[in-house]
Amino acid sequence: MLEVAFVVFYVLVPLAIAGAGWWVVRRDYEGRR
Amino acid sequence: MSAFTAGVLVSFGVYLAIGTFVGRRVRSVADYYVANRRAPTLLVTGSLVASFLSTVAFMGEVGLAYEGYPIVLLILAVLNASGYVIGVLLFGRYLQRARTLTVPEYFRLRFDSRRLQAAAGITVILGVGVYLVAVTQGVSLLLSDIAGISFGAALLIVWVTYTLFTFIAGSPGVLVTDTVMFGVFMLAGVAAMTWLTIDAGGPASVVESLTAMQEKPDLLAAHGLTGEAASLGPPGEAIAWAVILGVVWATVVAVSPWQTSRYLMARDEHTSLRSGFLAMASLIVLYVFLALGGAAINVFRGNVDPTELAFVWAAQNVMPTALGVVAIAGIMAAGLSSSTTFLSLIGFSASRDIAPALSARRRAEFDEDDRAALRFSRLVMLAVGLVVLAVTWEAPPAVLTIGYFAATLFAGSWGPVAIGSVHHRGMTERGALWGLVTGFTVVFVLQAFVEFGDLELPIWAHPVIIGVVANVAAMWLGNRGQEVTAAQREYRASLVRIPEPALQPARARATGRFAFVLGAAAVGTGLLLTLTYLVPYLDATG
Repeated sequence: MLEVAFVVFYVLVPLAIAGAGWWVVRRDYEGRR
Repeated sequence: MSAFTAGVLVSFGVYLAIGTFVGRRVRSVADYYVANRRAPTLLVTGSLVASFLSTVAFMGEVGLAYEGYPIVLLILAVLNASGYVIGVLLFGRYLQRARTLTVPEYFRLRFDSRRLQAAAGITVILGVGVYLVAVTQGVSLLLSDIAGISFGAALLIVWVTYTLFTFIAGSPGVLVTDTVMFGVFMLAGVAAMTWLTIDAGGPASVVESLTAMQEKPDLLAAHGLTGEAASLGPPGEAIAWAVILGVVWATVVAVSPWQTSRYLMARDEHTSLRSGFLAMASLIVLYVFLALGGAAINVFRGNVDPTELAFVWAAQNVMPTALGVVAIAGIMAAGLSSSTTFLSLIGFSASRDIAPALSARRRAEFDEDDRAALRFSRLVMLAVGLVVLAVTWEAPPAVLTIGYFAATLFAGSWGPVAIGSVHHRGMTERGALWGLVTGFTVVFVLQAFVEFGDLELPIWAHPVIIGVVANVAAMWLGNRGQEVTAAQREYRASLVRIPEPALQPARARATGRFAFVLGAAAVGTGLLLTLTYLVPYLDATG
């Protein structure tokens, strides 16, 4: 079971980081502030 | 001369030729230090990853996977890689706005303090210097092994190669050769490890053999090796180790001078951000191959000793010669590319961060005469190189240990100060200085006792955790009774303001697409892991 959790972890961490990064980039650089 | 020796020497020749060619165009200090701030995304990404990965990864960490901890290594790696995106968002892009020549120089401007710049410069020279010695040792040991020459002769060849072109070409040369080397070792890692797995009968067969291995029980379990030989301790401790060191390495990737200085060379802020996404994507893909391939070497031979030589052994004894040559050249490239960045950083810090702090006359001279400053920087680089050569000649080899030592040093000393310098409005010069010096000293002393003495600490009291706590405490104490000056307040305000040219919706959308590339890499590696590891593993263990 730990092995399944590991694979999920290996996918979710970068996905979450990519999502957060995308959000910050759009927020800061779209020039709408 | 064997094909391996010939391949390595040819690759050295190519790097030297590129370095010398690029170096002819170096005209000014800004060229030499930060490649005139015109590097595109590809070169910044290449240099980020190439400066980061070294013999520590291709020998030490592949050895760890081979020893019995491939999944533990991957847990560490995915956290580590996150440092690229988190780092560029929290620190790298602000550093880039400062447009300084070195990272310690950023601290001077931010806190209006020459002594802080000098202190940061000293940590660069000590910490990166130690790391450079470890990497030089790794590359020289490898060359002496494959070429059948003495360690001394190998050391001289390696040292001359990286010192010569760092001396001549400075950052423009390092950027270009780093990127070429990045290509070589990515190819080496992916192609060599894929071939090994297929030659061993394919993923399913490899997983079946490895789970049945009596000498290395639980090698493919998430927590790795169990029983007598479990060098990382019981399962819970092995995973805790991976998480703690993963966060430490993420901090290193986010703030360390040999990583963040790449952003100073980037063409603009979007280039830095895009490079952060791509560097993270590169690492999560490459490490799957290094970890699973490193473990697969066990199918061919389970007792390579020391384990650091597992990949090298496989390249020489299992792979077809052409692929083996690429693999060995890749390992060398990973080591050399870090060495060039490290040497240039030490040289830059000695001539730019420390020398001017010692002499007002020198400072005035360099402000006036760019060519004199360039000449002085080159001479210091050569002198620093000679010191590194002498130390490496004498120091006992310990590639992985010293590499990890240097990493924890920067996480403990630079981590809180760098992030605080941007995000903590009330941070004062004294707070920053106390934090930096305390963090460095605490980690240095504790880690030295752990690695080279008899001190044993529980995993939750890892030197770097104590170091970060001491750093933050010293920062808080240093801030007490101090006022933020108007100059510091203004400088920080200018730092957090997004520059007008970066505020473009079209460019923001384009940068956002790089986040999608990272997302796609995550899904792709997930599929790869499921098919080549998880499903066969669940089948084999019932």
